[in-house]
Amino acid sequence: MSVRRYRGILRTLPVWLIILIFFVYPLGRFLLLPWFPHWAPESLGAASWPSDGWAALRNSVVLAIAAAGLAAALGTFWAWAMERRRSAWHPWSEAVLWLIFLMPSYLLTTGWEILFAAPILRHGFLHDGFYSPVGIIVLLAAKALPFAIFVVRPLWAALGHELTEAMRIFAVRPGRAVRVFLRLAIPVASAATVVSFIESVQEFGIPATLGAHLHLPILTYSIYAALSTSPLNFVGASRLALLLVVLAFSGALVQIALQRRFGAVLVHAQVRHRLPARPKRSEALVIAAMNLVVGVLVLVLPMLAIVRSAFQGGVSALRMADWDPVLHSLGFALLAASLAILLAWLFARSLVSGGVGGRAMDVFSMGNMAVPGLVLGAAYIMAFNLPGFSLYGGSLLLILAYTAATAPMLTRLLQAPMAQLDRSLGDAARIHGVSAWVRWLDIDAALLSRPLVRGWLLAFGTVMFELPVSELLYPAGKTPLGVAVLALNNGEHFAAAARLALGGLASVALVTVVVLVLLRFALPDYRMAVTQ
Amino acid sequence: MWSFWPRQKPGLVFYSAVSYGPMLAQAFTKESGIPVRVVEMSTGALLARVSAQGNNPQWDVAWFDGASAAAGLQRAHLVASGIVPRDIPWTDLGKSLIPADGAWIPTGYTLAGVFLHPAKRPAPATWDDLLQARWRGRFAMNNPAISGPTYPQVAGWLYSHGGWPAGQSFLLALKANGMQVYPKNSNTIHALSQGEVDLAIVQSSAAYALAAEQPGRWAVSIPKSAVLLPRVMVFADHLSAKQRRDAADFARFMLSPKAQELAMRKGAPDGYYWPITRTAPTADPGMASTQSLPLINLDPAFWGARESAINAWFSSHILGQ
Repeated sequence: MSVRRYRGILRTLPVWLIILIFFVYPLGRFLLLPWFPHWAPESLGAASWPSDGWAALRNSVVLAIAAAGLAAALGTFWAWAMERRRSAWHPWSEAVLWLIFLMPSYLLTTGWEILFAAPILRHGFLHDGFYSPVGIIVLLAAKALPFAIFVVRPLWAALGHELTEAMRIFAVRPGRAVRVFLRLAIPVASAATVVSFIESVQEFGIPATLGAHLHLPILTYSIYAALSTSPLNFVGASRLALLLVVLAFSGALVQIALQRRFGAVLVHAQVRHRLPARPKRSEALVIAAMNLVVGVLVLVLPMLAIVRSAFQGGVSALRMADWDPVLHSLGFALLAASLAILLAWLFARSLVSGGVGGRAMDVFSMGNMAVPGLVLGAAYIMAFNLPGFSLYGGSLLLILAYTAATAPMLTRLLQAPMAQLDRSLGDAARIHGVSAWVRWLDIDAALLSRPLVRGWLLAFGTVMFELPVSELLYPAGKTPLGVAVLALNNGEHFAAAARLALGGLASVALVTVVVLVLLRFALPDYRMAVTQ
Repeated sequence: MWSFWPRQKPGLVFYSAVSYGPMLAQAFTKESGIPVRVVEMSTGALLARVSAQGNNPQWDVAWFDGASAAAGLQRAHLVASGIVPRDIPWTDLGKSLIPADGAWIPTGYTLAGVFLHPAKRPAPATWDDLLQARWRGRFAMNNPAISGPTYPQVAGWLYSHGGWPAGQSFLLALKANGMQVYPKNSNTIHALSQGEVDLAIVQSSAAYALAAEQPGRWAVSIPKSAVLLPRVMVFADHLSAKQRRDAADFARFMLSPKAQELAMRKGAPDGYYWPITRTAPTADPGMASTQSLPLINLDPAFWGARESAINAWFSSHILGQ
C-alpha cells in the first residue's frame, strides 16, 4: 500500500472512530440484545416479548401500507402537476409541502384534537372518523406526503416529453395513451409508496398521541412503552426495534430495486426538457382543489385551532416558568444543529472522496436513515450508562443523540454540493501556500455556505420539536419542548400545549431570520453564494 | 448553567411522579438552600428510568404512588433502607403504612380506583355491580401495565375475590360484561368525556381533580371496598452521608404542615389526597371521608412480587394481546 493511501486512511480514521462510538457500538449493543440478553440493565423481571408486540407489528404494517397508498397517489399527481404543468399554485404548493415537512406530527394531531373538542364537532361522522384508525392513516399520509413528492418530483422532471409527443404524432387512442402514461407513472408511484411506507412505519408522534387515545398498539409506541413503563423490557424493545429496522430497510431495498428496474425508463440520455404545459381547465380545477384542501386541512385549520387555543384565558395565563421547555430546546437545538452540520460535513467529505471509504459511508448514511431516532435513543440509554463513563442523565448525551439522529440526513443533503466542489480550487490554493484553515474558510465555507446554512436550519428546526429521543434521554430539570407539549396534550391541557408549541415555532422563525440576516450582512461572500 | 454530565451539580436530583413535587421542591430549596433538580414523569416512566439506570443511578429521591412499586425497587436492590424519619406525628393509618425495614416513606394516600361518572347519572355501589347488564360495555379502566396506579386496583379486585389466581374469574367477568381498557387516566377520562363510556374507573385524585375542574358535570363515587394507594418516597442506595441528610430534610419538609397545606391547596391534580400525619390540614372538603369506609390495604411485598405475572396475564386474557 502506498504512503498516500495510508495517509488517506489515517485522515478518515477520526470519522470512522466517531461512527464506531456513536452509531455502531450503541446500535449493535441494543439490537443484538435478543441474542445477548445479559447485556440489558438489571430489570424488574420483564418478559422478553412485549404483550402487544404482534398486534403492534400488524397494525404498523397495515396503517403504513394504507397511508403510503394514499400519500403516493396524491403525491404522484401533485409532483406531476408541479413538474409538468404551469400553474400559479406552485409557490403555495412549495410552501405547504415544506411546512408540512417541518411541522411536528404531534402538533398536527394536537391541532385536530383541539378542533374536535369543540362542542359542535364533538359528536358525528367526522369526529368518529378522526378517532379511529382512519384518522391515524390520514395523519400518517399527510406527514408522508412531502417525502413522497420530494422523491417523485425529480423523476417526473427527468422524464422526457418524447413519448407524449410520439403518441400525439401517431394519434394514439386515448385509452392506450392512458395505459402508456400509467406504465410510466407506476415506477414513479412505486418510489413514492415505498418512501411513504418507510416514513409512516417510523412515525412516532401520531402513535404517541392519537394511537394512545385509541388504544391501538403501534410498533414505535410499543418500543417506547417497553422502555418507559414498568416492568422495563429492554430485550422486548430490542426485538420490536429489529422488526422496525427490518421493515424500513426492506422498504429501502425495494426502492433501490425499483430504481434499478425502471431507472432506464425514467432517466435516459435522450431527455429533452421543455417548459411545462398550461393545464387544461379540468386539470387546473383539480390542482387548485388539491392545493386548497390539503393546505387548509393539514395546516390552516389545525394551526388556527392551536393559535386560538393558545390565547384562551388571555395573556395573563402565560407565566415565565411555562416557557422553560422552549428555552431548553432552543439551547439543545443550537448546539446539536451545529455539531450535526459539522459531522455531516465530515461524513459528506468522506462520502464524495470515493473509493472503499466513500462507498462504506454511502451505505452507512443510507442504512442509518432506516434507524429511527427512537431506536437510537434506546441504544444510547444502554450504551452510555456505564460506571466510569456515564453520560445518561446529562444534557451532553441528549445533544449527542440529537446530533447522531440528524447527521445522516444532513450528510445526504450535503452530498451533491460537496461533489460539485472542484478539487483544483483546493490544489491551486495549496500550491500558493494557503493554510488549511483559510482554504476551508475561503473555498469550502464560501461555496458551501448555502447548503450548510440550509442544513443547519433544517437540523435546528428538527431538534427543536424532536420527540422520541427527547422522551427517552431528557436530563433532570431540562424538559425539552416535545416532551412538555406531549405531556400537556395527553393531559388534555390543550391551551398550555398550544402556547408552548407556538413559542417553539416563533423561536424557530426568529432564529431562521437572524441567521439569514447575519449571514447576508456579516459575510460578503454569502450574498454571492446564495444567489449563485 | 448547563450540566452536560449527569452528576456535576450539588444538591438533589428528584424524580417526581407527583404533580405538586416540583412546586414543593422549589419551596424546599427556598427554605433550606439545598438545590433540587426535578424530573417530572408518570409513575411507570419513573420506575422504568430508575430501573434502566440500575446500579449506576442518576437520581437521589423519587416520589410516586404505590407501595408495591417501591417494594419492587427494593427487591431489585435499587433503594436504601431505614429512611423513615423518626420525628413525624403519624396517624394510626400512617403508622400501618410504614414498612418494617423503612425502605420507603409514606406521605399520604389516594384510592387506586373510584367511579367517575356524569353527575346526573347514578354510579354502582360496589365493584360487583359492574357485572349488571346495565353497565355492559359502558365502563372503562386503565391498562395496569402502562398506568402505574392501576395495578393496585387490579390486585385489590383479585384480593377481594379469592386472591391470585382464584380472583381471575372476577376480571374475566368484567371483561365479559364489556369492560373497556385504555392506556392511562387521560385516555380513560377522554373516553368518558367523549361519551364512549358512562363510567370511568380512575385514581381518586384524577377523578376529584376533574370533578372540581368542571363542577356540576362530573361526580365521584367511592365503591365498597376501595383499594388504598399509599404515596411513597424512596432514596437511592448510593447516597453519600451528606446527600442522605439532605434527602432526609427533604422528606421531613414534604411531611411538614406547611408543605402539606401547599400541596392540598395548590397541588392539583395530585393535591386531592388524604393525609397521614396528625399535623396536616384536612383533605379538600369536596372529597368524601374515608374513615367510615372499608378500605383494602394490600401487602406490598406479596402483590409487588406478582406484578409482572399479573400484568402479563391481564394483557393476554383481558386485552387479548
